[in-house]
Amino acid sequence: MDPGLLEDLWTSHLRLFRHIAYAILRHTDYVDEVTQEAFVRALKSKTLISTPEEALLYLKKVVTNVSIDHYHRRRRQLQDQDLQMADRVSELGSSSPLRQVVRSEEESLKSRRLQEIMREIESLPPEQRLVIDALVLSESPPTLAALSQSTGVPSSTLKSRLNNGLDKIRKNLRKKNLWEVM
Amino acid sequence: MKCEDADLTGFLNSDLDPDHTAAVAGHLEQCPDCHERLLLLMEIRQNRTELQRLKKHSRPHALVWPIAAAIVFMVLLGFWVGLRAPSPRQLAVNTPYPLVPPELRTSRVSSEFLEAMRAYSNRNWPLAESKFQRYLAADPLNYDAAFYLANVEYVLGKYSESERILTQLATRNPGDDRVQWYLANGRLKQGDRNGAKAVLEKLAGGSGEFTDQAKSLLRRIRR
Repeated sequence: MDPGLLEDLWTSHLRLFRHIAYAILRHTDYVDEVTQEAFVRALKSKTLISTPEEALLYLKKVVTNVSIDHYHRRRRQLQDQDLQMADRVSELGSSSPLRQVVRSEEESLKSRRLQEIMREIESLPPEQRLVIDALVLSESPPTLAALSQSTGVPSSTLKSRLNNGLDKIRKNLRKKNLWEVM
Repeated sequence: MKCEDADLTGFLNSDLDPDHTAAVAGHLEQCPDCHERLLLLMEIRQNRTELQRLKKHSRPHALVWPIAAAIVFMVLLGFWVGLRAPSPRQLAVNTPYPLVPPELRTSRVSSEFLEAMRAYSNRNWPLAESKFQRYLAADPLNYDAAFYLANVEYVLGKYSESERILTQLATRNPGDDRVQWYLANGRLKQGDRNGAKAVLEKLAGGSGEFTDQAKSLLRRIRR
């Protein structure tokens, strides 16, 4: 991408990019770091873009993806902190019993969480399950508008089915003490 | 913007125009429910492959019915040859609650508590018992220390002492399924089938960590 175009777009839309990062991360501390990383990633990218509209779309995507990556990375870091704490509790070294207990606990929690998510998805009413299947679990998810067009179901109905399905999963995870956010 | 107007998947896929993106972002900043929905969407996306694998596993397999029939046959055969049902003591679990370290996540833990936890994780039960007892002498209301001490007593076969501690904890926090589960198992270990049943029935009626195990144990006790 033309560095001049990138810089112009970046400056004129920085507020939007920061808005996107904050909406995902909800931590002001990380917003600067993430937008900076997104800018560098876009600058280094060799993606061919011809119009400013395409460039803006691309930049939005980069900021969103970097924010999502950062969120997952941060969660992993918090888990690693638990492991480091376990090392302090037990003898130092990767094979300390407490470290193993904490690690296996983390893994078992994650596995239980995913099993619960899948079990809940499977037990949703078909209309809610199909929306989650199509929009979230699918390898190349369609847009809401495209799904609405292909199914004949209004977008607003699809959105409320998605929200209702997600709410049931959230409620179930909370009930089983498996809900955790950063 | 209302929740039903926010296109969360469109936001995550960057499918929305800048104005719409800004509107959804603004809504996400204000609405904790939608933010949690977004995080859940991100988690499902992140673990899509693993979830698809679980989905395949959860589908009924062609061999399910023959296997189920074989299991039923074996069970009936077991009864026919006069296998006796295990005693309540044999039905109770033998393992302590795993060392979940909430203390490590949320607050600072004193070095005495860490030593007790270390003994617990090393399965040095007599040492863990003395460490937790000493800790509780200084901080008698510490819930976690009391819970782990009750588990230590359970593993050491001191079921009445374990029950005494767990009963106190159950009074303080009746909703703690871990406490109820070990209370029920401790009663089983002591041969108190009815006492165990009363606790298990409560657990089985809920939807907590031990609901399924409580249901299963109840079925086995009632046989």
